[in-house]
Parts: sequence; C-alpha cells; structure tokens
Amino acid sequence: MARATLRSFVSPPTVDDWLLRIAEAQDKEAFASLFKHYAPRLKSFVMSMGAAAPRADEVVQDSLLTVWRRSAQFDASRGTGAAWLFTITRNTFISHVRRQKHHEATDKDPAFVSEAPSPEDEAIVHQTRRKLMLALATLPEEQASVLRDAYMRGQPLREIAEQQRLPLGTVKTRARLALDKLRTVFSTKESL
Amino acid sequence: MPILPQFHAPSHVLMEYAAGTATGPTSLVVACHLTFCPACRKEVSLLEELGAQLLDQHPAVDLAPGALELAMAALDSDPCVTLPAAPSSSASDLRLPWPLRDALADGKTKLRRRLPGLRTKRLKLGHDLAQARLMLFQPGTRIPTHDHDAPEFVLVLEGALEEGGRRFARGDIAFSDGGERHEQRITNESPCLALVVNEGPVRPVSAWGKLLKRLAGL
Repeated sequence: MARATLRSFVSPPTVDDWLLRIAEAQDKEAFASLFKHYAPRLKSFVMSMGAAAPRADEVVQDSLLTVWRRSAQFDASRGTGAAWLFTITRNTFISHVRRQKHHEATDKDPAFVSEAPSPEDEAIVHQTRRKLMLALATLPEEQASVLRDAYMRGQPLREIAEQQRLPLGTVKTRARLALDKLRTVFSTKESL
Repeated sequence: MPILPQFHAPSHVLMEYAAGTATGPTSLVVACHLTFCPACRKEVSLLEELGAQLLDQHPAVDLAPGALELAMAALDSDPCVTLPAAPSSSASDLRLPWPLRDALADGKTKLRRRLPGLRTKRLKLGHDLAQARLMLFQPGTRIPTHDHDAPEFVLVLEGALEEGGRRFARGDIAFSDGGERHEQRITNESPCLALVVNEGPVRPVSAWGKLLKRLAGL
C-alpha cells in the first residue's frame, strides 16, 4: 500500500532540474516541460479555490511567468521545486483574485534573525518530502479532509467548521492532530 | 547571537498562513514573527511542502487551447530577474520587520497620540473585520481586562509586556483566542512597540475600559 502510494504521489524529480535549467540558461524547453506538467494541475487548484476557468488560466499563466522571471531565487536547499510552485501560485491567486497580499519574511531584511547553522541539503529536503507523503497517507480521513479543504478549497477553519456543522474547536483539534503527526517527519532522523 | 522568540503563533494559524486562507492582517503579523523566528519558518516550509503534496494529488484540468504558445511568446517580452524593491525606510525604522515597513504604505511610522501613554497607527490592509495597528505604549501602561469575539495577536517589536506571569519580548506573539479574557501590562523599564492584530471587535469588561477603548479610537 505504502509503496503504491509513494509511486503514484511522487512528483517527478525533474521539477527541480527544470527550474535549475531555467535559472542557469533561460532554457525554454525546460519551461515548456514544466508548463505541460504543472499547468493543468495548477489550473484545477486555482479553480477549486474559487476562480472561474478563464480567470484560472490567467492565474496559471502569471504564476508560471513569475517562475520564469524569478527562477534565480529558487533555492533547492530550502524546499522542493514543487513547494516553490505551490507558494507562487497561491500568492498569485491571493493577489489577483482576492485582491489581497500574502505577506512574507525575507532574509534581505536587516531585522531578519538567521538560523543557527544547520544546513539542509537537497537530499534532506527530498527525504522530508517523501516522509511527509507517507505520513499524509496514514492520516484518518476526518483529519486529511480538513487539510484538503484548507489548502485546496481555500477555506479558513471557521468556514470548514460551519460547512461540516462542527464546533470550531473540533476542526482546530483535527488540524492540530494532523500537523502533530506530519511534524514527526522533521524530528525523526532514520530513513524510510 | 540574537535571542529567539519564546512565544509563537499557534500551529493552526501557521497552517492557515501556508494555505493562504489567513486574513491580510493575520498574514502580516505571522510574516513579521517569521522574520524573527527560524523555528516557525521551518514549520511553515513543512506546511508549504504539504500544500505541494496535496496539489500533486489534485486532478488536472486542461488549459484553454493555445495556452502554452501564449506563455512561450511572453517569455521573450518578460525580462528575467526582476527583484521586488526594498521598502524605503529611514535608518530608525530598520529594526521594523520588512513586511511591516512594506505595509506602512506612506513609508512613515508616525503614530498618533490617542491617550496619555498610548500612540497608535492603523494599517490599511483592505479587510473589514480584521484590524492591524501599530501601538506604542509608555512603560508601566496597563491594558484593562477585555475579551474578544475573535483571535488577537500582539507581536512585540520593542520593549516588553507581561500577561499572566509570562513576559513577551521582541519577536514574541501574545496570542489570545476568541472568547478568552485577559489583561496585559507594559513592563516598567522601557516603552513597548507592538503590532496588534484583532480578527474581530475588542470588548473591554469594565466601564473604565470601555471609556478608554472609545477614547483610543479602537
């Protein structure tokens, strides 16, 4: 079960390669591959967040052009390429559709407090992602559905509680239990 | 070695931030805390990996015909590498976290005197119910007992405040959930500058507190 899940969920390792090729050589072929692979999924994500199809197309176009322009900022030691694409699309959706801003910290800020040195290399980032995937597959459905509603349908916990006719406290508890379980992927060192 | 924050945003708030469902003011206060807190940054990066993971399990929907060609044609007209400009700031503001300086649209941090011991500035973030304010309290100021319909975040930027025997300093978030009643006090040694976010109305308990709230324009 776990093996089948792993194989079907894993995103191709080439996402990071495509991003690096774009950053280093403005490689249009790599961009086309990235676009073909990701654009349909990003469109579906943006639509489930509440945008109509034509709007979703615009958000996806703008997100992937942002990826092209900012490819040099992608840092494979901090997170996977897939996570970077997720955050860029999320931010584009928030600014274009909700007309709000997703505020972010930056290490260029003189006030930024750096980490105590514990450099994470790309291997660790990808290992974390694999572990996260397995942990996600073992969550009880009632917890997993809170995460899906929050991330993929863009619902605040308050709204999820109203829709499922549950007390807000119950939904918060489900989210917390799910996150506690997922967080163990950071605290355990052994490989899978 | 800077002192790291001891008090953080709850994990479900970090999740809403990562999922992009937090209100503008909450997104701002979380981003400011993240500037000071490597531990929460690590947590948020895990939560963003989770988003990517859920996205991978999502079904695909075809784009309109010609979408790829449209994108390819735009590559040449789009210059690579345009970095967002740093918010302009005077040297005295450089201790403020970047997201906050960015949100201070007019580039000024001038606070208006509301009451003896209190200066405030409301940030315009385009949200009706949730409010973000920069507040400067004189040493020893007491914030009377109040409760809330909705969560409150007090991110300390300078100085310190105390609540229930705990001391909150630079980078710490004093978080109270909706329905919780509390009072806070600024420590005696120095003024306290804080970013205060309320997701809903503040409700002072005493008549004195209600009067102060009105005078303070909250």
